This record gives sequence, C-alpha cells and structure tokens, in this order.
Amino acid sequence: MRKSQVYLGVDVGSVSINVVAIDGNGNVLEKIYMRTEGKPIQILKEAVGRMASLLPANVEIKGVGTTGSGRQLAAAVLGADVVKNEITAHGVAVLAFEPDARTIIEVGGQDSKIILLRDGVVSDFAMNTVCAAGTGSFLDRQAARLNIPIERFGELALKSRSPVRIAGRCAVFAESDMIHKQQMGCCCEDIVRGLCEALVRNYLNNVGKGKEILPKVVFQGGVAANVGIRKAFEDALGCPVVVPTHFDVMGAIGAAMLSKQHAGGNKSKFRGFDRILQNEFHSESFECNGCPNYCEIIRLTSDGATVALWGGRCGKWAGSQERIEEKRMA
Amino acid sequence: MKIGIPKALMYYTYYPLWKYFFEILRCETLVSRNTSKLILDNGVMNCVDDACLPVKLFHGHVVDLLGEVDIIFVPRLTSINPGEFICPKFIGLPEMIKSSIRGLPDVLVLDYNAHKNIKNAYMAYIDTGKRLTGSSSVALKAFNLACSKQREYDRLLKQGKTPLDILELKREHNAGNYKGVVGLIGHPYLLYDQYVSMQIISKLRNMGYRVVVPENIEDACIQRACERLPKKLFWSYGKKLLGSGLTMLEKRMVDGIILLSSFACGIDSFIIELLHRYNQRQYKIPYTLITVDEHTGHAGFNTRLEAFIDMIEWRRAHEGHLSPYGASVSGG
Repeated sequence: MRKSQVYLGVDVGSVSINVVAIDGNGNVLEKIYMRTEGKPIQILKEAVGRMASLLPANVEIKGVGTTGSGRQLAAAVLGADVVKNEITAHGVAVLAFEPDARTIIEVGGQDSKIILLRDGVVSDFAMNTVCAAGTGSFLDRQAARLNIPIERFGELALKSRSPVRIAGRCAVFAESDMIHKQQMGCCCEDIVRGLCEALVRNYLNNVGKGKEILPKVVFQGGVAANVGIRKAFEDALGCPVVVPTHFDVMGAIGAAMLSKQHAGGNKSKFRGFDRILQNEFHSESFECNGCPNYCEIIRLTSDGATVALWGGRCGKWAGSQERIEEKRMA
Repeated sequence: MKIGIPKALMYYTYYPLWKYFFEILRCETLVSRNTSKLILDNGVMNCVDDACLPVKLFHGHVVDLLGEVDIIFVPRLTSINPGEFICPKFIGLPEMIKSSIRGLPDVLVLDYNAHKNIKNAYMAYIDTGKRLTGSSSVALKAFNLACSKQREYDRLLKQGKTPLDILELKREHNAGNYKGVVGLIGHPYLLYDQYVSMQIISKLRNMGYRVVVPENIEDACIQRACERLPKKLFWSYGKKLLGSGLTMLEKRMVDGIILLSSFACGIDSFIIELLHRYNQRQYKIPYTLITVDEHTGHAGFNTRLEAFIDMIEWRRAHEGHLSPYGASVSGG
C-alpha cells in the first residue's frame, strides 16, 4: 500500500507549542496544543511523541516547517525544511481557510500582530513594539491573580453589566488599576470585562494604529479562545469577528503549508519520530569570550554530540552550525 | 596630546572632519571601540535614567575612553543649519557627561551653532584649534583642509555608499546582483551602530537587497520634498529623515521602507507618522517601523525583518511589479 503523505508544522511560542499534521491537500489531520511551561525542548518532544501516536503507522513525513519565537530551536531538534517567521505563516494559513479575509488580528503569548491582506497577499503588518503588555501572558497572570481559570475568563466577562474602566497603556498600570477597582468593591466580572476592553483598546491604538481594518476580520492565536476579548473587539470595530476552527494552531498550519510548497520532489530533512523521541536533547548556553560583546551562545546537544549552535552576533558560531548540518546530511 | 572621540551620536556624520582637523593640528586621536554589551552596560549605568538609548550609548563610549586619552571630545551641536535646530539633548551633552561620569579627564567642548549664521559655527572650530595650538591661522588652515576631507566623504555617501562602507572599509559583496532595494530610514547613530541596529544593513544585503539610506539622498532633493509639508520642519534631522523618505517614495527608488527608531525619540514620533501617512495616501509601498532599545535578543528583530522582506516579495509576485532597481541613487 502506498504510504500517505503528511506535512508537519510546528509553532514554538512563548506560551504554547503547537504541532499539526496536514495531508497533501492541506486538510488538517491532527493538531496538538500544549503549554510551553518554560521547557520548550521537553514539551516539543512530548508534543511530537503524541503526534506520532495519533498518526497511522504508514505515514511518510514529506516536509517539516517551523515558526514562532522558538523556530530555530525546533528546526534543530526536528530537522526542518522550512523555518519561517510568524507573520508569513499566519498569512498563508488564513488565506487557505478564509480566502476573503482582509484583516487578521493575532494575539499570542508574547506578541500581538495585525496583518492586512488585500487581494490574497499580505499588504501590511505591524507587531507590538518593545514590550509585551496586553498579550496573552498578561491575561494569564491576571487570571491567576484573581484565581479564575483562564478558560473561564471570557465567559465571566460576558456576565458583566457595567464594565469598569481599566488603564490599558501598560500592563503594570493596568494591574494597579485593577487592584484599586477591586479594593473599591467593584465586582469581579466587571473588572474582567474592563480588562478585556482595555486590552482591545490598547491593541487598536498601538498595533492597529493607522491601519485600515476592513472586514472580514479574523481573530486567532491562543487569546481568541477568550469570548470576552472577541466580544470587545466586535464592539470596538462594529463588525463581526470570525474565529477560525483551528484558531489556536494557525501558525503551525501555515508552517506545514509552507513546507509543502517548499517540498517539491526533495527529501525532507526530518530526523524521524524514533530518533527524535529516543535521543536526549539538551541545550545549554555559554558566554563567548571572543570580543567585548560576550554573546550568549546556545548549544544544542543530542547524546553528547553538538547538533546546533546559535545566538552569536558575528558569524563565528553560525558557521559551525552550517558545518554540523553538512556533516549530518552527508 | 591624545584626543578621544566617542564612536556615537554625530561620529558617523562628521568623523572625517574631526579626525583630520585634530591630526593636522598634530594631535593624536583615539576612537572608542565598537559598541558592545560592555559599552551599553556602562552607558546605562552612567547616564540619567530617562535619556534615550543613543545618549546612553554616548556615555558608554566616553567611559570606554577613560584612562586612554588626555582629553575627550564632546561637541555641543546646537544647530547645524541656519534657522533650524537639532535635538536638545545634543545641546546639553557636555553638561550631561560632566555631571554623570566620574574620573573624567579634560573635556574638549566645541560649540557649534549655525542657527543665525554658518560662519559663527565655523568659528567654533577656529576657537577650538586656537585652544589646542595657540594660533588662529594654523587652526583656519587645518579647518579648511579637514573640510575638503569631509566633502570627499560626503561625495562618496551621495554615490550610494553607507558610512559603514567607508569608515569600516566594508566591502559590499554581491554588488550589482540584488533582488530589490530597501529604503532604510533612521538617525545615523542608530543605523550605523551595528550593535543596536542588530546589523540590519548586512542582514538586508545578505537577504539580497540593496540598501538606500538618508545619507545617499541629495540635500536639494530633501529640501524640495519637504516643501510640500504644510509647515516648515525646524528639526534638521527630522527634515533629513522625512525628506529622504519622501524622495525615495516620489522617485520610486525603493521596494519598501523600514524606519528604524529608538524607543522614546521625540523627533521620530513625528517622522514615523508623517511618512506613514504620505505613503498610505499616495504610494502604498511596504512600510514598517522597528523600534529598538536595550534589547539584545535578535529573535523579535529578525522576525519583523524577515516578514517585511516576505511581504515585499509576495506583493511583487502578485502585482507583477518591476523593481525600481537600477534607478540612480540620487534620483538624478
């Protein structure tokens, strides 16, 4: 029997690690969403292991794409064919599922982005600038502080009758404002709703500043699960906001699709499930003393052998990574 | 006497003038080392908290020269063009340095102020030269010779080189074989400081793009481009950045524009908005802003850069758009 062909997409973000498998027609076969918990390599291996158990035994991995802030790390561990930034990956995925989308709102763990699509291509984008205020990790933290499971945060916001105003410019300001409102006796759902509104206001004034937000608006990223934020976006924009079925893994889907485009007839660099799961991967950082920059170099080792090095400002260590790669392929 | 020149702020604009001026006056010069983690840390530690990153870096470069030189050159640039000013932080620079850094040797302050008259500004060099040698005529001769060196440098810049290509003798590899052109707008002390700009110029070149910078644009073009504004810009650097950005747009010299700004820059806050609006109304080419501060992680920076280049290529493939590559740099 002919093996079924599968493309893997991996998005290693600050908060979650997502792995998807798509078939040759771009259909999502399986998806896995796991929390990064500050241990990207270990969780990545776990997620890949789960994916291996979900897929039928006779699949052939034709291509692997990685994205997200940990895309280099994931590429080194898995052996990826395509390493792509998140903007392009999200754009590719949305155009496949919602071809008439003109605006993508993506709120992730550390980053928030706006991507404008016109005539089927990315025509403009923006990301949060120097700080991560108003992103998923901030919501996580506030949910933990109020002792509300993050999954229930959105529902609670919808129960609010008169949302309180929370300062949205900075996460630190927002937190002290929330505490003050709470100590004044405002009820929890009103504060939570106020926070959702503040986050949306901040997003539109910062990331979305000067951007022409036209429908259809697609909202994705982990935070899109939060119905409170979705409602706040709809209220602020005055149009419906679509949350796609696979909203939480769109980056990974885009990466898988890009690996499919890239594949052609080439053989994938994928290490294979067995080798990834059996090998012990270990990463460590050391300070390079070559110059006064003291760059933090990351060394990824597998069973004692160095498989990748990155992090330097000069070409010194990047070159050695390529040499390792050449050796591996030979 | 050994004069220390901090490799920060106006270094990338005036270094040839300063170097030759002091050397003709028989003073030895020493430039601080390239920005590094150490220099950045020293700058942050030895500067008032609310200064911008470039000013902090200047402090770090002064610290780098301590113990190595007899006197440190700290120019006070109040105005570089008649009727205009530059950022007030430059005006207070000598005082900031003197009050923040301990163990400072003598400081050589040059009061350059062309606001009323460019001759007043030249006199600053004559006075400084006289202070170093005791003779005005020697100083005048040195200044004239140094100016001719500076003109040579400016001429090379107008031909399309970047200050790094000239000062660091970087050879542009891959010359003539580019996929497209990116306009890179930003203050010289950000763009050419390879540590804070995260080597943006070489990254873009390695991705196959030629880079056009404000230093490449003729002053007359900048002047003309700024005349369409409803109000005169009196910040020289604001005018230079906006005028060169508008020139790149009007003459269709570039496939996209990246504006590199340091966090909390007052002048940039105008430029970012104005250039964005003119582009959106009329030209609609890919445009993005990258803000830098004390970050040393390259991941977020590279993501934005890569996504920007992807956008250019994607849009071009879609529009069947022809690259303006080949248009002369000054726009002729």
